[in-house]
Amino acid sequence: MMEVGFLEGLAAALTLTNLGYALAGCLLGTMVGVLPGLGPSSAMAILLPSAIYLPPEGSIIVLAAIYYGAMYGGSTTAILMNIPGEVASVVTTIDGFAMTKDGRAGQALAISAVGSFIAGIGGTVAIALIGPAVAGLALAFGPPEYFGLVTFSMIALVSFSGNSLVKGIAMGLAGMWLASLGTDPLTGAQRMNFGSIDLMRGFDLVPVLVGLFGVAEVFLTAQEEIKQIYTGKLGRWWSMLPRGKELARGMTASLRGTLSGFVLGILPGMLPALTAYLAYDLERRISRTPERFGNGAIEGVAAPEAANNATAMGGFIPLLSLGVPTSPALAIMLGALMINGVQPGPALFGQHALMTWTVIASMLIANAVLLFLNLPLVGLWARLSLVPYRILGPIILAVCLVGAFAPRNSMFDVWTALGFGLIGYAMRKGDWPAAPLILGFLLGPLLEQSLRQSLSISGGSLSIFFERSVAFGFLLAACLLLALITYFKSRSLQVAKLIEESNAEV
Amino acid sequence: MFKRWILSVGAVLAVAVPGAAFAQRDYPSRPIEIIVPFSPGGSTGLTARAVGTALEKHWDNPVRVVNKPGGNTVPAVQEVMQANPDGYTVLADSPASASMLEVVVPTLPFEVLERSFLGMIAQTPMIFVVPSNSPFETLEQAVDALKEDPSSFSWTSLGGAGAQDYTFRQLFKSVGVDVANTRPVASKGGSEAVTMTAGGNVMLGAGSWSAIAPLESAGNLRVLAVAAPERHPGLPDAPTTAESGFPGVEILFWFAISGPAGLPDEVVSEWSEALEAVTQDPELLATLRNIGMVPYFHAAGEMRDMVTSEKAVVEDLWAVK
Repeated sequence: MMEVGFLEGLAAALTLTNLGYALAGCLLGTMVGVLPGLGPSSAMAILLPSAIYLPPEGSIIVLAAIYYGAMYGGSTTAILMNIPGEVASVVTTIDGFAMTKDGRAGQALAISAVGSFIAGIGGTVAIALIGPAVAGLALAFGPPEYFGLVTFSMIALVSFSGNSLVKGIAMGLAGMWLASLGTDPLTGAQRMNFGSIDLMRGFDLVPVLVGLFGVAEVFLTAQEEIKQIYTGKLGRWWSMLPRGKELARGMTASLRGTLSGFVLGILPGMLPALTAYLAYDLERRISRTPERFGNGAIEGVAAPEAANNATAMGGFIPLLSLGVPTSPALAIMLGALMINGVQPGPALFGQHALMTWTVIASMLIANAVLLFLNLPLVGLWARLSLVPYRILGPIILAVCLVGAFAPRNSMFDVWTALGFGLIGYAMRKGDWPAAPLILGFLLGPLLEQSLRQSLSISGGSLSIFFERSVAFGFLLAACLLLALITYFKSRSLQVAKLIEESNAEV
Repeated sequence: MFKRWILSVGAVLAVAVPGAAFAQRDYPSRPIEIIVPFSPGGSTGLTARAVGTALEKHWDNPVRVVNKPGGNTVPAVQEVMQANPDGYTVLADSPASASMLEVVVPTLPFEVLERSFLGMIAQTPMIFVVPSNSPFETLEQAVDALKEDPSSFSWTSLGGAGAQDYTFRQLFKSVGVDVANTRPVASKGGSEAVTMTAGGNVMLGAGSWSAIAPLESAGNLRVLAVAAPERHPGLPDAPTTAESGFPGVEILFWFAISGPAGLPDEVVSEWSEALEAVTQDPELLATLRNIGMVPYFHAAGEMRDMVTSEKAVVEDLWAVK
């Protein structure tokens, strides 16, 4: 099956038309992804109607290319302006923006492209080789397993707390509270909507993100009267590419990020944003010089960028072999497949073998296109850090508000973004970190849902977490990690420093 | 470089935005917006897009599909109900935003039936499924287990009121089991509920054809019965609930178009005729088949009675006074 499929698929994907679709998709995706708030799912939703007009392979290739392009584009503004284009790039802002202020925007952008490329290639090869075989993993993960995994991920929240553990945890809880407003996703019950129809929808992640990071950043920069982000000189684009020791560090971090991001990406519900956080946390923990993190460590850009892309790739396995979408963007992809009469499932590799392998091969091509498109553009993008802020600022603000409006086509979300802009501004002034708030916003609903579902399954008995070995393993690991952190925090100055110095930037 | 960017965007947009020729007639003479109260990937969104495309061709007039998800469909429905009653802002309607809505949100800011029904197009039934390693081979065996020990009988709920809960409540009622004694496991959406069933986390699950078909063909799910009067074209071997010995346990999760109250008669009849015409469009039929929807046309005039009686069944099942 494998031998027949992949090479033929590659040949089919390399036709001029399909290459054109990949190129157009990458360009569109990158452009949309660069705009704060407009992430992969907005871009794909806008272009879903085209799935009806293009031939089946064409529409899937365009959508997949938009998906990768938007993921990549999202990190560009994270690095250049401290504004994550989409939530998966939040963690990239920490070291990415530090590098930009240091005049190393080119290096950060280049390693982000290289990291995404490595993850894309690694992910494609893994899908082609082991794809259908590991699809069952998505089914083996039931609510108790998710509860274990999310609890374990919460440890990352603790270590992202910045200078004060108390402030970090408070922000994390605030994020969870905000995410719980509105309609309870499981029962439809209304929570704290204060009689408002708009609040019934709850807060969407995008306007909160765009407000806390994008709008707040513009307010802050304007108030501090910063003329431009970087005032030094930038060389030609090839001189901005990382080399030597820096390149080696970035590459190994990319490989580690790819591995962890891909394995986690096979699980439904595993968001690229979360694996990016976990990959960043891992890099900082295993680094011999953790104090560089937050001050422009190249691993802090490479690992999360590789991880979020690998997660995006990993999601294709349950999608193609089981029809299980692991993210909103992949749900749209599933819709496009179905509209075209392509029913995901193991039969996909039999009945629609050529088309399936064409699509997989086109992922490879789309990733290559992205790299070769973006490396020469690194110089152009990096020059944005030289644009006077009185021109750049208003543009960013306008784009942020469009981005907030787009996912739900709602004016309420625009006001939300402005409101969170003010909150974000106040938080930065008071040195309250925003990253734990976003993490809490992401993890809170997952934690609540998996706990409630687990307890429904067991009829209210906590024993379910001890009986299911994977869930128990995660919970045990979470306890151990927590104990270790507490132990070392009291015993070792170095680890204490590690926790404290994490991300004063955010 | 930028010039080339703009050119390629233009090329793709040219594909995405087809013939914007405006015909000279009273209605429709400008773009129509169909508001979908769910996110883009779901079956309501996909059906709306397919129907929108067919209508665009039929009328030679732009039809836009806009997703406004969240809040149990209430914000989107409210927006359509408050729109100018001119027929240019309409709702992609379904039981979730009509007959079942009041059970979930008792304090609605509008009267559910105070809307103009414009015509029904398609439906999809709920299908009872079990994990492939389940001991149940028939719906009867599952019901035997349910009657023996309701309190450990776990099933997939979509929380408040949805097609899943409606079908399960009908089943429980028909065999005399109180739903409050069973063990519902709630999830956010149909796809998640079906995945949970395939993973063996619940004893009996239900889902639409589009959600179950991939896992069924992968051998992770076994279909017990289709909760519809007729067999599903995608599953010719699966018995109906009536054939399995449970007549009346049926739901047709319909897709229709509705508008604000007080739409002019010409607009209502134009829509009803157009929807009837497009249900003969082979392209639309093919797309509907691909996403598991079964054509099910009912004219605007018939819809109010259908929804009213469905609403009565819902209120009875949920014991609303």
